Amino acid sequence: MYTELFKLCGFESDEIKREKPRIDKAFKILGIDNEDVKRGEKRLKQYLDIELLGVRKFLGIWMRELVNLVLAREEHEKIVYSDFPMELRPLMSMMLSTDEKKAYFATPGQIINMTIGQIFDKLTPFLVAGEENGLPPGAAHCALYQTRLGAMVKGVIPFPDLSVIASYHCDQPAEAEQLLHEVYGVPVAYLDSCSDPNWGDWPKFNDYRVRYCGSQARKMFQMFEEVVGCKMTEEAKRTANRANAIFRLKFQQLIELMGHADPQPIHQTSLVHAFFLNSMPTRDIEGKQEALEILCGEVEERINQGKGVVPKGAPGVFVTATISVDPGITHMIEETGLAIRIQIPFWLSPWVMARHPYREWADMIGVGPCLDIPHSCEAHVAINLANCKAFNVDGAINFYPYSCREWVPTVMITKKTIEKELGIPVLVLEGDCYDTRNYSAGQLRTRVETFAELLRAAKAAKAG
Amino acid sequence: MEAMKQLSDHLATRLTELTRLRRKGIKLIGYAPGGYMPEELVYACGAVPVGLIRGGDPEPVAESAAYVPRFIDTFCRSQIGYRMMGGDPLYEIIDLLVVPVTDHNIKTIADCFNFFTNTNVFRFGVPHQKDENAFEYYLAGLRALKDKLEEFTGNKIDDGRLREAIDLCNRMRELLKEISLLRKSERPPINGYEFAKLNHASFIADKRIYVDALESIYRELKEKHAPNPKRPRILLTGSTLAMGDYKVLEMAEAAGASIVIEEFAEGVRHYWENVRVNGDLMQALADRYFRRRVPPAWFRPSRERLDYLIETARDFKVDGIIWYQLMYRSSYDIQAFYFEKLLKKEMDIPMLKLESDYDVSERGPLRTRIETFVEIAKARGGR
Repeated sequence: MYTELFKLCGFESDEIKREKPRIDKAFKILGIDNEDVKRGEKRLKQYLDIELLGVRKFLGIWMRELVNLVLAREEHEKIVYSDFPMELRPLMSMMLSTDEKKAYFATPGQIINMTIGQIFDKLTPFLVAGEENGLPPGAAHCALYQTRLGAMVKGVIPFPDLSVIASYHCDQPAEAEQLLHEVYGVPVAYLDSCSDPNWGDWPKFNDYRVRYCGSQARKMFQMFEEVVGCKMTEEAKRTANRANAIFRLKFQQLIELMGHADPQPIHQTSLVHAFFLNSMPTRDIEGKQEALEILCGEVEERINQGKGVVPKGAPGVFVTATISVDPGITHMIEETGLAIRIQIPFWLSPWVMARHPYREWADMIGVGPCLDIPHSCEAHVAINLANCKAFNVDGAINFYPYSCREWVPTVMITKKTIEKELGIPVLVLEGDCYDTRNYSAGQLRTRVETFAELLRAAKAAKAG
Repeated sequence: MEAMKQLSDHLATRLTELTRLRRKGIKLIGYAPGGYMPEELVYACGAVPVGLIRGGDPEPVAESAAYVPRFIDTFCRSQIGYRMMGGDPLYEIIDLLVVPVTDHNIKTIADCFNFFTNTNVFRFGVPHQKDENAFEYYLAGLRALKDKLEEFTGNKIDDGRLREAIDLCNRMRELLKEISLLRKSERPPINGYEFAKLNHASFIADKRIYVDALESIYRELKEKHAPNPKRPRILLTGSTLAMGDYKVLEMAEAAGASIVIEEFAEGVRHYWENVRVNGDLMQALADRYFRRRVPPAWFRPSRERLDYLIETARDFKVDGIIWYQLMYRSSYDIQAFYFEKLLKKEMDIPMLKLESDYDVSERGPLRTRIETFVEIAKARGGR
């Protein structure tokens, strides 16, 4: 029933045949039936540039990980979970220190959202299970963590032997993992930090903030070694660092290519599965690098041919956080005739690229939050502004996930800053990256259409 | 009580007094009342601390919507609302706002004051666990605060003045603790509402006048014979108990319960621990305010707080727990889920979880739920 679907996800016939027993087993546990598969195929064709091989290959990586995740307990000795906002380098360095058979690493929330959410649009049962088990509805809990908790409680994915989680960007991941620890006895290692720079400090940061986060990274690595029974290796650290940098920089090239192209060559939704591999550990390092190279080539080809998914000369916008489960939002914005030049957090700002003096692995992990959005609200706003400037946009759509405590305080400050500094309009939309039950692209369409008209009129007036 | 009345009179004229002090060049240091800001440092540099602890009113919450979406803790939005509305002079006369950053809710106060007003704001971080590195981090924050206060006031904080300030604050905490412990009695001489108001006064009052008042109040309460002991004894806990937000206390007392002890992350003065004045005084402050302080729900692991609550509930012989949290304080919402399970296992007493957004329309449903809970506690405890 799923051959066509897996072909759309870049699988060859041989692989589908070989993997059939595992896929059958995983789909049975997940409760994915024929109707879901048909819906998945339809959504892939509707929302993504599915004719591009690069896009299909990225989808394939996520579908393989979905099957791996569901079957992890019977195929591996130890399971380690993480999820956003933990960055990839520490996860990969731990993962690559282990034998593939021994330990399975995953960001289960992201995997479920990218597949069960994005592709099958079947997230609600997981969200409901999360709500019933400690992350109740109506309180703006992070839907990513509701999803992963729900999936574990429902028995669809196994409970891990260790969870490693970052609390430097938002409060809720660590709070949700504390629940996992107290109720289900899962050991949790926290990568703690404090978002406490004073206004005006950005991009400066205190050395003691880096050292503290570094000390937490050391504790996390130690706990990993104890629980999993493996030593962290220098080779694993080097490989993680190198692979992460190569992929991230190539992705940066891709989105800069996209952001400066007119017309916009492919749908922004087609970048999502690539982007989230910047935070999801997979042992298929070569596979994801190959997929990215292919996608870059295909985008370049479209640009050279002058092909696009929105009209040439369309007003360009900066958009925040419409990525993730519901591709309909991003698609709807493009349908109103707006070219999405750049989405946050796709682009690495110059500050992230800046050199720093830390060379010890744990301190290098510790400095990460200080160079980017987790630095402070001021950093968040400055990076938004830098995105708008770098891609010379005509307007901004600040779609904010209402359950994100880090994001919410920045919304009005970002709007006022961009409007004042750049003189372009900013539309604020409220929604969620993962839970689509409280809003829809249809509801938001009228507001975006009006905004698009405004931008078109402004652009025409400017052109004279 | 005469002393209570004198304290009340003092508070009524306190704003005028603060304005007068400010005109004389004394700096007023406002702060977010999460219990991580040592007032001792403020006194030691010749400034006056002012806790920004108002809450419970719906208007500031509505006002804050122009500056921050509603998905932030209600108390924190209220602080933004009070400042922007301009109705409370305390929020406007402060020269510096100090915000110990505990989570994103509290940080939002600092962000909005920074961006939307001309208030001077200083932040320092509070880590979320208590190992030695975290202690050093908090201590580094305190040292940065000390530098800031010295620079801001032009006065050096020396050990002599700091020790004097610590002694004064220690005495205040000792007295609050003594008064609080009187409530262990079968016939508590002070009810929860009165104690909360007394506690809140510590954020605004002149510290010497306040300590004198506490001495008198303690003497009077020790002699007092309270009536009507047959009331279920309740532990009230949660995220924030703000000054003015007394509805749960009032409703519970009116329904026939006694709030005999309370534990909140914010809005109330923490008085169980004192500063140990031996060795380095900055270390001593960090030891008291960070290491030995009962951690809020956003600390990991949560076991220290959970154990403390169970122990306190046993110690004060409570018949039930009211868990009062504000909207969107996710740490409390999540912890309530597993604390209730633990409470059931350890003590088998009932717990009522309440949530507020400081909305007037909540009052009816809250009253019904509290009355029902008190009836359940009465039926189970036989009081």
